[in-house]
Amino acid sequence: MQLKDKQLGTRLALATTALLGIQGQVQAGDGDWLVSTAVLSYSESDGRVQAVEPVLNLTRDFGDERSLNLRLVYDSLTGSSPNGAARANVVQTFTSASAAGRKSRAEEEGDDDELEEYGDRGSYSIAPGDLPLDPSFQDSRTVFSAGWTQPLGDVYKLNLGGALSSEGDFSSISINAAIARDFNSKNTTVSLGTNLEFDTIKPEGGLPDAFSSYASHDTSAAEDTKQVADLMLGVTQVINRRWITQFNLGLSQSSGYQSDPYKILSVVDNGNLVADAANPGDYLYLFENRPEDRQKVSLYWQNKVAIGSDDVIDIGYRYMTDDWGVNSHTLDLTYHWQAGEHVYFEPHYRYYEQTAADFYKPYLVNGEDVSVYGLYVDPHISEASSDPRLAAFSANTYGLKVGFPMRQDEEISVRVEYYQQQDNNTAPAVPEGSDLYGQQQFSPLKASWVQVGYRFRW
Amino acid sequence: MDFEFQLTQSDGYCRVNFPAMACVCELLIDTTDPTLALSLGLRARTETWRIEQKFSRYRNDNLIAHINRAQGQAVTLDDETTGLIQFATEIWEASDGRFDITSGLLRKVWRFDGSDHLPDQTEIAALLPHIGWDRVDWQPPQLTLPAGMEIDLGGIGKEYAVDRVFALLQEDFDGALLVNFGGDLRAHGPRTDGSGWQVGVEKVAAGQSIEQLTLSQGALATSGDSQRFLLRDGVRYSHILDPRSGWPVADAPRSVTVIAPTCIQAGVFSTLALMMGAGAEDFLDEQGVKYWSVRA
Repeated sequence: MQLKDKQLGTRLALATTALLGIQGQVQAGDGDWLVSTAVLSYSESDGRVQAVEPVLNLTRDFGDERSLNLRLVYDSLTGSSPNGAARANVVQTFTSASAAGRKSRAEEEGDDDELEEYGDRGSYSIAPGDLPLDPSFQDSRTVFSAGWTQPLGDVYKLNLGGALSSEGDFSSISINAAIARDFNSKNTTVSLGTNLEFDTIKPEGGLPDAFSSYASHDTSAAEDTKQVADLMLGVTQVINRRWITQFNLGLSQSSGYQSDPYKILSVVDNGNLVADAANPGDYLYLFENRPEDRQKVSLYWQNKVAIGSDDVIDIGYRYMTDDWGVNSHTLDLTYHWQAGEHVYFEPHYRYYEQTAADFYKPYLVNGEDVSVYGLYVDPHISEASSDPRLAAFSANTYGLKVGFPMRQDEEISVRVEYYQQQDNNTAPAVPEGSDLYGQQQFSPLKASWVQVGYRFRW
Repeated sequence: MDFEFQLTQSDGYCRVNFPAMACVCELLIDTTDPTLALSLGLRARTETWRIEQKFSRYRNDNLIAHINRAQGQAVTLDDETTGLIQFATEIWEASDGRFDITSGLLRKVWRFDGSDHLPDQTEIAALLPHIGWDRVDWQPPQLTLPAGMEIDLGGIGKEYAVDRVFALLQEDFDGALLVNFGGDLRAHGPRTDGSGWQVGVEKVAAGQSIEQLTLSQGALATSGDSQRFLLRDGVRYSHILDPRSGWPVADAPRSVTVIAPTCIQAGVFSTLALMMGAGAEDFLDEQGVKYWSVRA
């Protein structure tokens, strides 16, 4: 005597799931790997950076709370990036000696590939009133990371991992370890983690000397390194069935080369750009320089509160302060609205603000920050950068994610976000009619991105 | 039973016992905190008593009694009962009608008291028109039972209670846990000392030893009962009735114990296996589940 189909077990499992809800042990085994794939398309306004970023994330559960996570991210960036020079009422031409040299050599040798890559970087001009953007911004980055989680003894959980990152002029290797312990019937989890990162910066044409001229591109080293050590202490507390809260304290120490080897500053005298004595007709631009050490302290508080049967509100606040003078506040709100069994919506809002780094300057003032004597430049300060990421600004992010869970561990989602900065810097006054008069030196960034994701068992 | 609740603090874990569902229900909770075990145990008892009160066929004041007395009127069911009836419908379909919650009427003529009293075929034939899920109008959540028919969720009620209590306890307790209602049980582990729960699989026939197994995840259910049978002319009639014929299944094992992810799955497998009679073991082999069957 046989039943008409051998699928009784499957039907029984499905009926059981319908009756009892999702069961941890019910026929999970469609596949061993949980695969998350996503493609992010990022775009800044005004033809600035465009990026496409595919992500592949694999997780495998080996039982007994042991799991392996592998992640591969590829970034492809193109477009224009602010070079750091001031916006002015005059035409500005940027000529780099090393790039110009490569360009003329390529022209002589008829190397079209090289020309394609460095043609722009050799020399480009910016119209009056436009933000100086380096049009040759192009990079690709590959990041691979792996993590392993397992219990350690009876009450501890151990997490070990590492990451490798590589792009044209930058490579990074990092290792991390974290240990967590549950208390109070697993209602409280305390974790301690550390991450060590080793970076190598090897810019095209060597590392520019601090405050050396952009045109001459003096260099005394081909590459430099940076080391970052992070320490994280976290406490997660289940308040009740509907509310879970988490506190994190983070300490970070980085030392080594922190500057951006492509970023320059204009030199301004009484509101006018200072000419470059070595290159008649061009203005003088000096390479930036940042401190060799940076210490950060961050505090993070996150709350997840269940509302109704399936909705969740997620509120996070982060405070960060560092010894560069950057203090930031982030408020993050996400609402998970389970509109139906097979669709949910997640509206997202984030507010961010930061103060400027002590050495942030939209440009260098001649006689104050540096003194220019013909071909000779005498810096009076040891650090300066006009990188907008070190300026004072606030930013709003608005987003919406729509997810379509098809069954357990299978979901398609689309996320759209819009980001806009506001300028919080006080611009120094310049004389009427001067080169910089009436020009905003911080250009608020607008960006938007779309991410499409698919998660499944394999 | 004259006790209502018992909490025992043992070496490294707590044990809770309370009477319900015609057995002593037992919880083993891997905690040394008796207050936590007490609160979990009381909640488990409340939930068990609630399920028993709601679905027992021995009461005349509950939902099942109301459905069985509806005299052909449609009854609109709550979500939980709808879920159970729908579950039973799925299993009825998947089992070619062997598993049928309307088969309880057969107990009116079959009394498994160890005697040699067999009912007349005429008595059985008179009941058969009132048995069969295909005669019922089931439009979830509306159930219309023709007059004279009855439903009985006894075949899955205890296993359902085990799974429900298990899920309820897991909401507030992440540690190792064993919910055991008279041998139908579900476990979660391993315990903090790394061990699983020791579970004895009862051998029904005399002289057979109890097999110990270690369960750290999953459920176990047993169907069959050595005490409930009829013996006539050397033929042993088991209490497992085939709702399609109205007669006991021939050559069924004395008992079958199955391991499955949930208790209700284990219960359905073990019940269906008995209904397969001589083919019980083949059926279980085909399903790829771990089981013990007792014959002889």
